[in-house]
Amino acid sequence: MFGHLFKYGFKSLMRTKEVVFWTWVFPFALCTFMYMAFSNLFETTEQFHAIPVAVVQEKEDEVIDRMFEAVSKEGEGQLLRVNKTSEEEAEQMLEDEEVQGIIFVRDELSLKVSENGMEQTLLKMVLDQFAQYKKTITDVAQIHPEQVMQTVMELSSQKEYYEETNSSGGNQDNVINFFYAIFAMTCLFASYAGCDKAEKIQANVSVLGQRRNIVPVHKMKNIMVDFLACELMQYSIVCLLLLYMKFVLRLELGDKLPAIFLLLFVGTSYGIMFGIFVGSLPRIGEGMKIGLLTGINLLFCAMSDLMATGVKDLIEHSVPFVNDINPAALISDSFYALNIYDTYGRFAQNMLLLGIGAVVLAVVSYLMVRRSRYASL
Amino acid sequence: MQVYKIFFRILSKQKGQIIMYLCIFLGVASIISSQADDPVEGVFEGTDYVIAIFDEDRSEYSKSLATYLSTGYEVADIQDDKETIQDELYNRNISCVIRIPGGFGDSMVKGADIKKPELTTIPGTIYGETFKGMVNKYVSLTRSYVAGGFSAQEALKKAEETCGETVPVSMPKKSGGSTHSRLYYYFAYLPYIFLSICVVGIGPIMVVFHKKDVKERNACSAYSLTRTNFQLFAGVVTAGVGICLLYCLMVMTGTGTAIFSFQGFLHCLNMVCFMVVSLGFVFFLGQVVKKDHILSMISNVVSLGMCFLCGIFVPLELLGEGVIRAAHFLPAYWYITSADFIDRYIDGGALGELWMGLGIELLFGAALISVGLAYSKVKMENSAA
Repeated sequence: MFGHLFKYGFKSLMRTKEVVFWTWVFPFALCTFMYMAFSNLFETTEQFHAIPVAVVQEKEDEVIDRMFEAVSKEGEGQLLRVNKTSEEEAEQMLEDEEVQGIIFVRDELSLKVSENGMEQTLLKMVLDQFAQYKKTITDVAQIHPEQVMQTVMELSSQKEYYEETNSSGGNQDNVINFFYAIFAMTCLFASYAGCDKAEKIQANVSVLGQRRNIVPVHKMKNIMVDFLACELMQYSIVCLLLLYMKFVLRLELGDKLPAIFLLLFVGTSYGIMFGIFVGSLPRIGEGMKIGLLTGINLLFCAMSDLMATGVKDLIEHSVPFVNDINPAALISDSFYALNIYDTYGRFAQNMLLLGIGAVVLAVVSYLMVRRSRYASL
Repeated sequence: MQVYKIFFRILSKQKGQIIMYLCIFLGVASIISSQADDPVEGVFEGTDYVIAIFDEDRSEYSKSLATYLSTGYEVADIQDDKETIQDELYNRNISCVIRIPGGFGDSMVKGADIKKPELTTIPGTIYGETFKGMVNKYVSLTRSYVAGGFSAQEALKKAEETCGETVPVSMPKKSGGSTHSRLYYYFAYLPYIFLSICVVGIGPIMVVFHKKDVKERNACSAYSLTRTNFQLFAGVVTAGVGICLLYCLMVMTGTGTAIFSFQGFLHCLNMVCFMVVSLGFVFFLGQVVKKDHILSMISNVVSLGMCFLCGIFVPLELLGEGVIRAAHFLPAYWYITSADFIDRYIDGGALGELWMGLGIELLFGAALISVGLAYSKVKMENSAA
């Protein structure tokens, strides 16, 4: 009996076009679009590349020349890409956005930029450094002229007086949040399948429900079979999505694959149970239930960074409790924790919260649909 | 005018969704436009970074370094634990964490191997380079004064003084950043809103009128096909104009009278051209699709895809070259490049580039309608056969 119910539960699910589209096609399409749009984002907005500048040299200055040479030397520490040129050409290059700024070497150094930005800020810092080094040499030359050589040697030693440490070995490009949120969305969209199944076991909602209610099968058995059919389909989808993102789009989702598979299992279970819960709500029409699911799912996903990054963090800083009850935030945060942290504490806490949520939804759904009696249908 | 009336009766059933789309996206536009920087024209402003400093040395040197690093930047007070630092850096709440180790001041005085400050930032970023440069410069300046014969105290004082030495930065007027006008943000998201509204509002009407039974009933009625089609066309045009007017009204509530400027007029022209594209898209879908829910599935994928790939949701300058090249074949690309042009437009400038963009949008609209008509003709011939 169990096998029979499971087989037909799965078959009927595969034939529900809306469920197939929103859970199969939409997440793949959305992550492909996002990948195409966002794959360049870190590189163009935050990643450091040597800054192209035009230099208009109206006065010979050996110290400045050496400094330019030092900062534009090709290699890992290259800060600037220097183009020595005439003023007219430099202005044209700035207008055409070929360079980020023009450095004028006159009696005093000056900089011209066309906009405010991180690269311009760094450029100004480099030029300030030139001016400050010059002043240091002048100061020493005035008071301790015999020590000038030592000062010059110290300034040109190019020693590194800092220790750079990395806070995590994981992927720190926060654009990946959008993709974590897509996983959360796919897990929660499993609720459509759950809702569809819940409607098909209630005699006052669907004709199929009427037929199933006169069969001597325990309601819990019905719920469990439907849950397993949904889980098989949704878990397969979300695993395929994981493989697609990891091996086709080559997104850095972390290497803790067993934990990710567990996370997706718990996430889809929660999504299906949430759908069964909404589907079991009495006195609400089918359209209203779908609307309710769409609205709540999208709200949860928006709060876990699906539409704009930073929303989840904003909530974490203002009302952290909301993130603890938002399944999408728990799923997305678990991906983050697996990718960034060395420990499993936060991941385990999130799994526990999701698991408890799923069990509570299952029990409440069962209580709502069990032992229903109908005077007339 | 029976068909015309029925058109609006069906449309009125969708008014809730239309208003919802308008309100959501205008809400998003108002939030984004209000958060956009409003730089002072012609004045350079460095990027405002937020940093965290943990001074474990508490010597005069470390305090001086901390003061220098915090000049011009906001110093955040965060918990000194690994996970908090990871969270804050990942979420870009802070750009860099600088930890000055115990013994730093002593090592500066003795001139021996420096106890190096520890910098934690997102690897390979511009701001990482900025803070590395700042720490290096400060230590290097102080040590240079010491090497130049100054006492430790004098070197510290001199280094502080020298750090105040900056080069003048000029920025031409009319620049001030890569931000856009408020008006631009209100029109930038229009392709997604129009495509969604048209599919949600007008799409179901098209589906109803192309249903086999309704079509056959209409065909044997006294109402001629030309009259039906003309009234349908009039309904579509009226709805299109109505949506445009409603949109303008909502833009006015957000931007005031800016829409009455020449740039506002050009934005409206661009809007009308994209409305033609949206209506063409709906007309085409109406011919091809037979069920409402399929309509919403196709429209979601097409509109979201187009908006992601054409620079509506993510600025064009941040997209890869390949994506931009592909986007040339989509109407939303020409819409957003026209909107960008209008935003940059200075009165009296040449408008050739804009006319080209608008013309291509109209051609896309015409192409969609033609394909829809061709499909409908082939379908009719097949059913007649």
